[in-house]
Amino acid sequence: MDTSREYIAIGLEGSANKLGAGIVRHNKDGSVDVLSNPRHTYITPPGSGFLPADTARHHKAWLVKIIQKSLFDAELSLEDVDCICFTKGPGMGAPLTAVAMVARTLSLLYSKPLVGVNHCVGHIEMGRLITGAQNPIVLYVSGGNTQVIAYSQQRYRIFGETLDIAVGNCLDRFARVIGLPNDPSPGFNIEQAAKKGNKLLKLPYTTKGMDISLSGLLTATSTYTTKPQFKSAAETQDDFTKEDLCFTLQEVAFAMLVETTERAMAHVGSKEVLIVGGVGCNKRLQEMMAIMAEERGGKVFATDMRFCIDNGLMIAQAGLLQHRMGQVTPLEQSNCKQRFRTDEVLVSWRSD
Amino acid sequence: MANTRTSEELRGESQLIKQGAEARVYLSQSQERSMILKWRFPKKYRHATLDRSLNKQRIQSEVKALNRAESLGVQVPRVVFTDSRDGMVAMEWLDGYSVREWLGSKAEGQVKADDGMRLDMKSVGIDRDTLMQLVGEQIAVLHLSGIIHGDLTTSNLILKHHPNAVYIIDFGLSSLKPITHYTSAEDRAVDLYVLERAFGSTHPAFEAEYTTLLNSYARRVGDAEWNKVNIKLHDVRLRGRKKSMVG
Repeated sequence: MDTSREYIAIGLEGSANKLGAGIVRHNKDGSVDVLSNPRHTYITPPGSGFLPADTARHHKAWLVKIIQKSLFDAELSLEDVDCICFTKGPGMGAPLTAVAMVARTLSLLYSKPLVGVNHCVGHIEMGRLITGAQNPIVLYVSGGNTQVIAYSQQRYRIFGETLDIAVGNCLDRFARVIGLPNDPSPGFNIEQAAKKGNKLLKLPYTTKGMDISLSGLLTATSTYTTKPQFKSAAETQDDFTKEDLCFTLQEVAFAMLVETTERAMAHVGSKEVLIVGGVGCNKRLQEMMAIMAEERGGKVFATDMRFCIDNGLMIAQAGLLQHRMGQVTPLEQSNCKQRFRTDEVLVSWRSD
Repeated sequence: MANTRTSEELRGESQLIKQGAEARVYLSQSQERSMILKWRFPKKYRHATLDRSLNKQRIQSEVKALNRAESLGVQVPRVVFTDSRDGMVAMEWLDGYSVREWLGSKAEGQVKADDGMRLDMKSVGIDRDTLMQLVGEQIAVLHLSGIIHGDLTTSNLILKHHPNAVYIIDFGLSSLKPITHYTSAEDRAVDLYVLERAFGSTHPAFEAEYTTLLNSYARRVGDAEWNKVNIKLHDVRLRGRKKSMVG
């Protein structure tokens, strides 16, 4: 990479219900500065999820404001950036294309190159930047993705993943079943409720090698809410509450995640784990992962809400790495891909 | 022989050789013959009740599968004794390196084992194709015995020498089917697919070798069975995990 000058990138993210614009600067000495990273989340009423068309409408209404805030916080104008990065995929179609359209427009208006970024790679590069983890096994857990990833020969290779729904989706949907609010996020409210639960109920535990299955877990947990023993406060030994269900769901789902991550660590002989994605801010998951890592003489790296939840900065960071290796996305190839595998991306900026 | 000692004492006299994903693995040489002690120690990260039930269940499936496999001529380590209360299984010691170590991760150059040993296929009189054939054949024999492994990776295949033979280990996630109802094509396909994925992620340069493996598997199970599995394998490849969702 050319290190004779500094580089600045803006990244736009809106693949799901979070909309963000972040600005990153790579300095000459190799250090990296986070200049700004504002975000706005589309929050739906309790019991409902976010639909693609409504989410796209939210993004269209907010994106210009978010970009202006991002530039204002960084004290920069769009003239100062080297490239405009946007999420090419994976994600929901309508929200992705709404953001990509703005990225294309800005690219033409300011004559700046466009860089399309894989959302998952964005999470990984952001996590590596913030935590300083060098070559970790990555557990990527969010509303739409659940993958155990390791880097090898210029690709982030997927070792294990969910066979059906993502863990965040499983938690979010259960939150809807028991009517927890979506503000600030359903997963956060599950985490708070779980702290008050202490009864472990029986749930299916499905690991297949390094892959897991979660849909049966969601069904089984939801079925418990139709039982007569399900009460707002336990009266007898057999009773259980929604807090107990949140507790059980977390314990079982996270145990499966930690177990498959450990399998990948043992298989490739790695001592570091990095947790990224929205579910990655869950403290209980971080704690379980830390205990596992400690038992293996390893270490866990995790970030907080600012960086593990979808944001624009992660797209800027991954995009700038790509751009500095000479990658540019021509306008005619700037379409979005709802399905865009992590291992499709050539990780040209790493050579180890 | 081992009856006079508790499992814990045996481990104390043994050497910890590996911390796998599920268990600590010890090499015991204090008894008449060398054994591997596989101890599923309590995992503190997960809820104690959940941990106990999982460990119990996995020890049971492991021992059952190993016993059936051995009786039907699949190459697996022999079970010496089981202490399910302690979570330990003692098995015959297989002197050899895993297929993962033999393949390494790079297409060229010499391969180093986890213990630092330089591995050279010529010195043991095998080549990559033959190794893949042995693997394919052994998995076929396993499936013909009504056993689904559940976690086939190149780490769980050991190459033993004099003569060269591939042994299958780690049956904690295995399941048994009545042999009369020959294991469903779906289950066998998923088993092969897990291995295919492990190949793709661990040995990206060796996807061609995986074809050799499948061909050898196909030969061993015969055309009729292979056709059933192959159709399912095609379905499985297109299923869930290949697709990316929102996030």
